[in-house]
Amino acid sequence: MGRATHANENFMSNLISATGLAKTYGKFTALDHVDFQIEPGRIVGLIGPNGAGKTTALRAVLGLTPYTGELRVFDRDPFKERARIMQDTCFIADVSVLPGWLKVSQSLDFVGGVHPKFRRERAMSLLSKTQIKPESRIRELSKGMKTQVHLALAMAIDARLLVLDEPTLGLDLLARRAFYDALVNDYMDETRTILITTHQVEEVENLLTHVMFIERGRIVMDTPVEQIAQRYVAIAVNPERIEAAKAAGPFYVRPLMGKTFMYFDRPADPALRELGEPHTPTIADLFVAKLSQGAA
Amino acid sequence: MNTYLWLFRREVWENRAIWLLPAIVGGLLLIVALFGHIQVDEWPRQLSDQQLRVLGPMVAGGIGTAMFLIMSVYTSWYLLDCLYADRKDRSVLFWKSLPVTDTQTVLSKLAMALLVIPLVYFVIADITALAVSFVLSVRGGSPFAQALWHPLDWLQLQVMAVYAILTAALWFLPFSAWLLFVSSWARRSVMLWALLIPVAGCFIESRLLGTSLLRDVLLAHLLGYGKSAFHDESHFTHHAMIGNGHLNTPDALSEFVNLGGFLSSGEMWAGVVVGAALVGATIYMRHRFTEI
Repeated sequence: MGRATHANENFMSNLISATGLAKTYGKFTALDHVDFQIEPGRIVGLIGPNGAGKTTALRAVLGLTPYTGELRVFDRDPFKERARIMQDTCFIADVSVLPGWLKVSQSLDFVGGVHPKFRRERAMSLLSKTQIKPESRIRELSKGMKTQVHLALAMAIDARLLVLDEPTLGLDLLARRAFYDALVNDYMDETRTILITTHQVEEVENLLTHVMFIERGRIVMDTPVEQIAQRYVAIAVNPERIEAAKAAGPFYVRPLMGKTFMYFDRPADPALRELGEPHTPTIADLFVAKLSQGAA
Repeated sequence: MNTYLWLFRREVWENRAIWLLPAIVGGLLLIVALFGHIQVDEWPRQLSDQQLRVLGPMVAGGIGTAMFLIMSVYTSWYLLDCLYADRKDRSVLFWKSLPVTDTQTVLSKLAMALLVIPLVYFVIADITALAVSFVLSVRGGSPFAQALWHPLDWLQLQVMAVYAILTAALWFLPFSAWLLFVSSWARRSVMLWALLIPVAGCFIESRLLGTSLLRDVLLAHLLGYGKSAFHDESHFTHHAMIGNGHLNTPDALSEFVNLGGFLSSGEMWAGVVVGAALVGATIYMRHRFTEI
């Protein structure tokens, strides 16, 4: 009884919990003993350059690849219990994973047939807002339409976790915007947890509650978005104060159109305010700053 | 169980050839029966009752055998392709995003090849045989009609067909499972891998040991099904004249069935064990390796 309660508490506080999660492909280290926790209701962006380990981390969470270290999803071992975890998880990889021969109507039939939490009416109503015909085969659809079908399938599942792996890769601007609008308007509420990887940071910037930066298999930053303003400051440094600003120890310096931007991780320091005009860095700025710092 | 029905349905959606191919073959046979040249007035009258008695099963059995051979080629291809195709077009990521286990996926594809596809061919062969018999009866007149419509023979053929489907599934399991196994891991050229590995095995054995055990075992098993599951004609004492020669025939078709011999065949059970191990290995590969 006590044990069950404990497991339940752990399960309630962390949807996903990784400790020392590691994965190598031959000599290449895709994940280098990373630790992270994801609580319910969060919208977490896992952001990193190509080959940083984003997709490997997601594959591990989804039970698609074996790994070493400790990983729990809904307090289960994802590699051993993938099918069970998929009852409460939706996964959309990039646009080309729906099989071309499948008809849209068949995709609804099949998912409805094997998924206990799929609500067909909901998928139908989502699709009715689009130009997609039920009798079309996936291969006849544009990339944007394929994504719409997959999103409609995913959103019609009453899942607790939605995992998106570069969901808008290869889509044009209109289709990308449509995808995120649908996600925000038709899916998101405080009970949903979303884990999303992308290297187009600007796109998800306003969506996220948390960001994790990953580089060369390591998590280099893991923070709630609301704390970014408290932790980091970017300053457009006055030209005459540049030497003084450099002495204050910025972690990233970016000359841009005649101005010099410097990034500091102690915004409360009043001395910094003297150097120039402060503002809160965007996630994209921070991403570049953090990763350039790693490379230096 | 419901999940398996959906998995079967999904296979039929993807592989329409499962029913299209036998339907086309059946249609062609029917066209031959409709428009082919038959010398109706001559030979049926010259045949004895006993020979006429053999004619019916020969039409239905011939169609069934032709369908069975076509099906063997098709299911071999199906088994080689089914897991590989999912990985090649990356749709495996979609299938694996659903609450279906890898074991269910692999078993559904095996069951398709061993039971569902044979059943489809069986039904279409039956319909074809009925239609062809009907056409021949109308075109050939009463001697043909008498020869072709023996309800008892017909029923026995049905039983034999079901017996053949079930015993062939068991007998050929090691080969079927081998094809499925290759499909679960090969990155390309599934056909080449499926053939190359056993051929290389035979070659290495003969080079190193100077023996040909593997080749003998494989060939014996590949060709040994008929002898294992059915009695051959030497088993029967009854004679029927066909043309100038004569044929040993049983009094009832069901006497061909050699269930006891089949079930007590050590070779069959050894094959089943090898096949089961390969199916296990296939599930392991499907679980571990997602993308190409």
